Amino acid sequence: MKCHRCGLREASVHWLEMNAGERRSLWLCADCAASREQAPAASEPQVSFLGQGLGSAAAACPGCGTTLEDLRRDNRLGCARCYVTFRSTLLPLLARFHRHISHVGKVPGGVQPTTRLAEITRLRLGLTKAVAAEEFERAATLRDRLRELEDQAGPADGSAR
Amino acid sequence: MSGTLAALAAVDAAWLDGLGPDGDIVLATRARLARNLAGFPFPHRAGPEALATISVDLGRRLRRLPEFVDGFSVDLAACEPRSRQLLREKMLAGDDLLAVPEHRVLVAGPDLSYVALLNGEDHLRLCAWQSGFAPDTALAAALRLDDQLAGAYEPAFSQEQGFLTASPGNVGTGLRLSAVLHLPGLVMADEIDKVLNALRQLEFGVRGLAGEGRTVRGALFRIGNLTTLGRDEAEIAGDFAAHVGKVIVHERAARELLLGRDRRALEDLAWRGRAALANARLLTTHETWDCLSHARLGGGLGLVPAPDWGVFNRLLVRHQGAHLELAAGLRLDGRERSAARADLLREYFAVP
Repeated sequence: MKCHRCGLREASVHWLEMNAGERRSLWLCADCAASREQAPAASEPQVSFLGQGLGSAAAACPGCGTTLEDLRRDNRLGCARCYVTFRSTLLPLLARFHRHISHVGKVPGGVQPTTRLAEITRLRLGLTKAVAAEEFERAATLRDRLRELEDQAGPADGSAR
Repeated sequence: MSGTLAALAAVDAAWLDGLGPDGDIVLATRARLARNLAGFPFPHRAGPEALATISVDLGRRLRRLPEFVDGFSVDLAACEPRSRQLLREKMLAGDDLLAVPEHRVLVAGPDLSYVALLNGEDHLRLCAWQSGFAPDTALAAALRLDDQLAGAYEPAFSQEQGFLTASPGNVGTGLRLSAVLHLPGLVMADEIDKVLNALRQLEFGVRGLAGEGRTVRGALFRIGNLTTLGRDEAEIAGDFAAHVGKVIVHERAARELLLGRDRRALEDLAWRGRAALANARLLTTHETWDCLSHARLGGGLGLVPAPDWGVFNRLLVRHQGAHLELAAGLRLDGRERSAARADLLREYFAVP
């Protein structure tokens, strides 16, 4: 197994991290384990984040159809679901780039959104789930409702030029 | 609501007033939060209906917030490239946003202190600008804006990775703090590489504000945090304040060092810069970046009379091509631009 941090050398150290009460494990090579404190030579964040260290599995994200190939090319994920789909690929990259893999900080407020946008979000999430579960009748209902809602948008209320 | 791009172009951002903390060295500080909507693919994978839904609904919601009332709303797809260039010169938008503008909307407050970008790399990016070196104030302003949008949409958020973004380089807090600094002392004392490399080691991104490729014009640098995951917003701001604060201290020390080493050479540089700004009849953009830099440095050290920092800051924006063309009301070729630029600068620097 290659080191989760550098992705180059053979991993030889099992690194355990306690973060927000959750245990995470990483496999590191001896060099990376020794220099865990040392910053990686990061300069431009976007350039090579996903370009290196990616495997070659052919899985596509059920949320948006993004493949590992796409990730390598675009340096971007296609949707929120990609973070689950490509989790095992992403975690070592996050660990290497951010030196952390878990969020600390602001969480969204407890307000339950009731806007059209939030309703569309719920329908879209439900649709993905229904398709995955092969509940096609339910999916069709959701899709109709989604189209209906999206058609209500009408013209922009004066996005000036 | 809502002003047009032409109206926006004529506005000088409030945060260019030069009155903020360390305003002689730091032009401005910006806090940016990246946010996405759950259920929608990120903009580069989303279809036109999804993008239109977001820009219409969220745009409408944004324009009603007190920060944006009486401000501007610009549909980037409807702008010609030269107009989009204006936004770049104003530091409001980067190339990434300008490249594929469909369904991209920029909403800005009346004095440009708050800017929201819809359907750029992420569905929503909220920016709060402050004059001078003020990371805490900028962060507080951006978070307040974010709070006001609670209930407007369901954010793409996971307990594990926080706010989810198109680039994994922004995931977590989605927070990027950056400041624009004028560092001529470090450049001339040949210490800039050492300082910038140290910043890169500490996981800050550094790039020149002006200039192509690896060249930096006018000793202007933009410094921002790179890592967004695993530290909370206050910690990121604390680190930013500490490390960028050290750069300011180093810059002041470098200026004193140069002054001690060869005061006459520094005076000469500052006076030449000032003289060109006050007298030249043709000024290229490269010359102007440098002359403004030298005159500003000389002004800061009390070597030459100089206008206040706000004038310098506003001229740094206004001497650029799209702004000159807007002021002239017509397209200008290279030589005409140089002439218009020299006229503009003489207005502020010529001794009556």
